[in-house]
Amino acid sequence: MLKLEHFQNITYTHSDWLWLIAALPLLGAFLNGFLTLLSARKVLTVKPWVNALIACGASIASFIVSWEMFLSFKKAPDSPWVQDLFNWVESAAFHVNFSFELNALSGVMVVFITFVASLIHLYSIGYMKNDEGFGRYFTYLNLFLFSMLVLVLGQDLLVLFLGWEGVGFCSYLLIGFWFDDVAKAEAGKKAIIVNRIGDAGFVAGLLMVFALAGTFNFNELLAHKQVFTETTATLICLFFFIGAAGKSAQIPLYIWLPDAMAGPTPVSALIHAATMVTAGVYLVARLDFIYVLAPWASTLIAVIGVLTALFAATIALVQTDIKKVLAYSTVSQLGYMFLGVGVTSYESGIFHLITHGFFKACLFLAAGSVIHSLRGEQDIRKMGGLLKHIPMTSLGFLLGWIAIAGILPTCGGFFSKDEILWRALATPNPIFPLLPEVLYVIALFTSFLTAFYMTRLIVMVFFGDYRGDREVYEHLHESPRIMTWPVLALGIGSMFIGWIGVPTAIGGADELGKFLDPLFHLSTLDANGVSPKLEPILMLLSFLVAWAGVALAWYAYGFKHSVSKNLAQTFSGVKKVLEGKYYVDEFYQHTVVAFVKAIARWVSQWLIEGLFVGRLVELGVQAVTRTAQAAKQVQSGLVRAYLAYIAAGAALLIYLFLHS
Amino acid sequence: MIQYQAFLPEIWLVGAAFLVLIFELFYKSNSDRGLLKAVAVVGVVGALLSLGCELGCVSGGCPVQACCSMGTTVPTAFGGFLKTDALAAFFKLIILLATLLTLLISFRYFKANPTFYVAEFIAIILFSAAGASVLTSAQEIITLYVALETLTISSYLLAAFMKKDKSSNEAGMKYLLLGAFSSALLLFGFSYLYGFTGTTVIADIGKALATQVSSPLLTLAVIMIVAGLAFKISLAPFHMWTPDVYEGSPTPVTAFLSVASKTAGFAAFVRLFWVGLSVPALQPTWIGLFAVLAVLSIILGNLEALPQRNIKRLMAYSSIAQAGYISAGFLAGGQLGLTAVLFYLFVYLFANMSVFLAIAIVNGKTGTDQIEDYAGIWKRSPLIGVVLLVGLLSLAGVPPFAGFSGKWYLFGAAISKGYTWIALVGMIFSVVSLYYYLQVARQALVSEPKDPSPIEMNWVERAVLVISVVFIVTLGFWPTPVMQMAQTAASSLFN
Amino acid sequence: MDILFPITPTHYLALSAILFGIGTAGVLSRKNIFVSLMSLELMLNAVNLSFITFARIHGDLTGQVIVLFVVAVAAAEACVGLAIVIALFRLKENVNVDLFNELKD
Repeated sequence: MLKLEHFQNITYTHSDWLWLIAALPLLGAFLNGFLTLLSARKVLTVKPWVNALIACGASIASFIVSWEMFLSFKKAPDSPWVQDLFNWVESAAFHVNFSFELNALSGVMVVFITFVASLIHLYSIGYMKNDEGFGRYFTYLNLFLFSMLVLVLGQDLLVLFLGWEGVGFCSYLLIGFWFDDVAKAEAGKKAIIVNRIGDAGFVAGLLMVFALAGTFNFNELLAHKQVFTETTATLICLFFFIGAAGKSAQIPLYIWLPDAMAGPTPVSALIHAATMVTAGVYLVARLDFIYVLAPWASTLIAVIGVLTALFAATIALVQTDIKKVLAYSTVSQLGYMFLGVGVTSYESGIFHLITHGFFKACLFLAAGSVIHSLRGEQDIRKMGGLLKHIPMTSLGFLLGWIAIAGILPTCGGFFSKDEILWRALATPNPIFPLLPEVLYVIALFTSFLTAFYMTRLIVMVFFGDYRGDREVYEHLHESPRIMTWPVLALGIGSMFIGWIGVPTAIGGADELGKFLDPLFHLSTLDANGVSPKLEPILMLLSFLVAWAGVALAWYAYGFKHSVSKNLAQTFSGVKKVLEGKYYVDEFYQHTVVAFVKAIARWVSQWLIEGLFVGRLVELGVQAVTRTAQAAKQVQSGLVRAYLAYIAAGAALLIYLFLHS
Repeated sequence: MIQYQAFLPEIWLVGAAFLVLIFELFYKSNSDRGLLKAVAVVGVVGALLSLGCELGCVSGGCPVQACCSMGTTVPTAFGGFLKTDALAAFFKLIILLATLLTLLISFRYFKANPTFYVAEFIAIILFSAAGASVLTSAQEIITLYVALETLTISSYLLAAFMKKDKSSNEAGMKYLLLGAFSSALLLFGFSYLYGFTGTTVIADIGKALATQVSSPLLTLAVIMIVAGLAFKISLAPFHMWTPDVYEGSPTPVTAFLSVASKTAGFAAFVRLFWVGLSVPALQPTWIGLFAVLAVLSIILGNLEALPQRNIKRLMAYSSIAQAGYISAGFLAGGQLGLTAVLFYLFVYLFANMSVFLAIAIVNGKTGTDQIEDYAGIWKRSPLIGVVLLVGLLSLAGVPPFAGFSGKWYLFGAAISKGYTWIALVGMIFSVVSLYYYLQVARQALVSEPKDPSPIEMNWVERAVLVISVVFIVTLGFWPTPVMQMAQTAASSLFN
Repeated sequence: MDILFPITPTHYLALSAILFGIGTAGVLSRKNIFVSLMSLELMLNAVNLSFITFARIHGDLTGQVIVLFVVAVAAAEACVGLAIVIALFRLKENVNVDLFNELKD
């Protein structure tokens, strides 16, 4: 019970307010949801600015709190802040505290998430203006932010899972936000079904962790990590990776992410580029102490990561929808991150997660602004020469392009991508000795492709001549400042975000790496016989490769259109395959889906209709009618019969218990 | 010395009842009796507040020190015959909340079924609640018996309250005859218990019996007591009255019987058996008895519920099955089992009461209790649809609702004491129960309404329904606070 | 009677059990609700007798006090019972319990 002196003698430390970070967006979601419900019921009319103020206020306040906390946490980063909020589950065998933890990793993530989310909230005001579902949109967006923060802050796998499901659910709601459009609602369904497959893996991992360790708490797991043998650790890691692959769109579960572009563009920026899809990377990094026990699983992650990176980048080469290019690019970049955490270089994965979050959010928001200016046009073949018409947006997009293509050292993703490449090469693989070299070559080639398709995109959108409808052209206008300024903020941010991790090899401070390093187990490895002096040289190499991609693409799409046409003709077969996205969707349709459908038909027709309805339900119906008849006999309504039953019951009990 | 804190809630209840009867004198015959309702609600809320204050004082956390004149001692009165420990307080909490909700349901009920005797109804409800409330503190079998009869005799009247209504009368008559009969059995058992021990104080009975060897007459007495009390909580095979009385009684009375009366019955069981009869000579016998009764109730209650067409009758059979589940935790006993019983009763209070409130609201509009008339209720009032779904699924024990965690604890306790087979029967028949619970929910949520006119309710009812749903869902996710209260309550029995 | 055999408390208990049995039989078999109520009274009085006998055996007053309570409770019960009987009689002009069986499965 609370007493007055409790309040007098306690000086609150920062960690007592950790809950505030997540609670603020939740409060925002509640308020907005409540107001939206009321206005839907015509109890009162809510002006859109009220919704916007609540949602953006909640997000920005959350950012300020996290920033403040992060700064004071940074003074003593060795002791994580833990706040036990309440006893969530309490039973004999099973005990879960709902608690938050701020450590180096979650601190960085929280600041990053709330910062990007705040900018995207602001941008959404402009983008969603005049939409009927304005209040609903901001409710979902705040709810998403809350879930994401719970995911990151949770000190317990089960709390993390709560956030994990929460973000998935909000993602579903927001992909299908315009649910009147069947295709968009279908995209939402696809996302949730594919994610269910991943979640099945996650749950299997959870069960296995609990069976072995008897707890879900990260710190307790870490303390008891000797209970995991290599085999069990490998299994657990694979299960969790299935979950991560679902959420973070890796082979073979990436298919939902491109379709998820059906949602409003700010949603694509926040959820499907910057934050939610990176949850899988975060999960692997958070469970690093199990993953280092399982070299097979880590190797698999690295291989799948690099293959996804390559695979998605090739598809992005031929996409014609501006958002689809960015979507495949996201899948590809996520592949890089998994390559990073797969070679047990967790800092580099997280580093790239953050830089990518900045520049990809910037690109998506800028793309949204382009689409907004062109009244919903998304086909890049009908764009061109937009630079002079929408300069602010174009500037933002170009900054994002510089960052993602890695063509300016120190800017954006240059260092983070390079760190991953370097680690991939320098980390020896205990299973396949030659694997590091292979990984490096594929990743390097992918960075060439990245530069190529991104350059193709900007050339087709911002340079050359306009190729779309005249009518749209006449109404071409720059987006309002509430949209362009967040784009520019993110663009400029992504120019400088790389500075947090300048590699020591070229004389940088690598602040992020040093900050995160104590948290991760086994992240510094012997350099695989590769001299550290090689790192600057390799950096130069990838710099040149990126420029080669840019130059080639600019040449093909900017100057000599014949080149691109010739290319397309020469490789028409390849192009067709790429345009068909390797026919993976069709492949799934004809194998997995067809198989499941066949089983479903068998179950519904033979098992349910035939056996269940035919026999079991028949039996059930008979049982019901029989009991009804019996009950009619017993429950006759005659009070004297009831009296007799009581007497008989007592007599029977007396007989039973006295006789024995 | 009499410490009036031991029966302060009852003073509130009885005082309010008398005030209601007195104020009624000043009313013209057919004016609406708003003040009486207010007095009744104030009485119950006052009782709840005094209970909360007492609990706060005993646990040492009362913010207003002035009201804790006796520090942290557990209040006792009448030579120790009444003692309001944490266990009694927990039971009282459930009973008082059930009374409050019953009053709310009755206001709705009397709007649809006008009667001149609202004051009398309210007063008898309050008297009845006072009886149930005293019962939970009783440390002695005469007190226990008198309190129990205060509860049941009032209930006979309540069941027969609609005196122009055939089924209400029939329900009252059946309840009276069967109830009096079972009371006689109970009393017979008590008399032999007294004969064997020479005392009526439950704790002393336990001491006196501790050294005795089992004898047939003693076993007989125990069986008679079990039979008499099992009637009150409608355990099979002493459950025959339940469906008829539940169907025939006015809906608020049904709700009251299904929660408050049952809780009081369990309170009597817990004290009498886990304090007085928890002796080596008898314990195996009555635990075996309860095992038989629990399994029978679970099976019969669930099976007989299947073909029901009347929702009140369905709820009657459901409550028989629920009594069976709770008995599984009760017979496991100990800290674990009793905590589970208390927690489940708390959950059951919200699930059952919200469903009965929904039934009363629907009945007020449509005038029937047939399940087929619940078709498309969801379209006529979304809230009622949600309440039926959540409340019934919680009763069925479907996650994530509170009924699931409740059953988890009950069956967990049973399994920990080696009664795996009872838990197994409980789980299997929980699945069976889904069939009839879902049938109501399906009717309410899927079918098309015959009459699409919306069902109105006032803000108090709306608020109560919403709060109940929130409670059921929250307790499913986060049972800990109530579990901790229940743990404290259960442990007070063993100190 | 002392001449024939001494009457011990056991005899009283036996009498009480017999009375209880007669009462039970009466409640179970009689259709007239008045007789049923009277039989119930008989059962309660049988219990009273055994309480008094035990009080005598233990030399303890509690048992006798219980009887007073039971008598009061029985009176209340009878009172409510009769009230319900009147209501029933108004409906059907009859007090045969078997006529009231509309509530059933």
